[in-house]
Amino acid sequence: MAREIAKDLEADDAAELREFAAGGEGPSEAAPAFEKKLREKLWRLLRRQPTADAGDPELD
Amino acid sequence: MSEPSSVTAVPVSTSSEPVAPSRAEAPARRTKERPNRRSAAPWDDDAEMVRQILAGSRKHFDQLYDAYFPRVYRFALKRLRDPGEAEDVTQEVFVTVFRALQTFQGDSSLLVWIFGITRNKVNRRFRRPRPRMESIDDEALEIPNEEAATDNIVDARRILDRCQHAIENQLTPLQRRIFHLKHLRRQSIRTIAGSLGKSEDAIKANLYRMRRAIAAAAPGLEQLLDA
Repeated sequence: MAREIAKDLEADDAAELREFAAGGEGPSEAAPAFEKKLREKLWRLLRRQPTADAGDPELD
Repeated sequence: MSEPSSVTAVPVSTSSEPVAPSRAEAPARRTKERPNRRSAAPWDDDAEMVRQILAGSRKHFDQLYDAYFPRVYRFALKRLRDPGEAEDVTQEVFVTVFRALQTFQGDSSLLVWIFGITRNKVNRRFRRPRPRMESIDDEALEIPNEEAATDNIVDARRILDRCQHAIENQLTPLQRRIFHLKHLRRQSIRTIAGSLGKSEDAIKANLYRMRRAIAAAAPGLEQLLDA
């Protein structure tokens, strides 16, 4: 029983990864304004981040 | 962008921490031997892509963002069914990814790494109690009982809608049949197994998967049923 469940869960993982890789099947795209705004925020975060754990209050 | 045809089961971290792929992960080593085969991304080498981004290449940053933004957002939206929550998760995922990018060694693919972070962030949303608006305004704190009751009804309807959607969209036809026999006809697992020509273990495993899927899609359902 446990082995069967473990097998099922493994299959679930693979199915989710396949779905993720394929781009998902969401009913709609994100708002373009959000996509653009997040892109610029992330770029700023990346550029001013000297270390991996630098924070960005604007994004929190 | 083509869908990878050979994605197999991979171990995915259950932690939401931005853990870079471990050298101990066998599938990760296979990915390094065949750069980016599973990533379906328009570049050949994840490690080189990361190096370029860390070196300040806006072009490479845009490429990574363009490749993964839709995946992260759609994955989150499909599960959370709320554009606002999907946006929150998308932001959390990318902040985590870029904060941890320096630790990326290329031992596994970016696809698997970002997928793991995304799934953990989504799962954390399901586990987290629904935030309640609070105010220091005394008047706002005095919520009439009728309004509180209405809130509870709205919450319950929302949870049941999600439950219904999960049953209709996430269960296989066989699982829906099992669900019907078990929960509406109140049949025993042995009876269901006999009528469907399956083993009792197979029925139990399917029931477990259904509970998991429904609980993930309808957070708060158990508390609602216990109330």
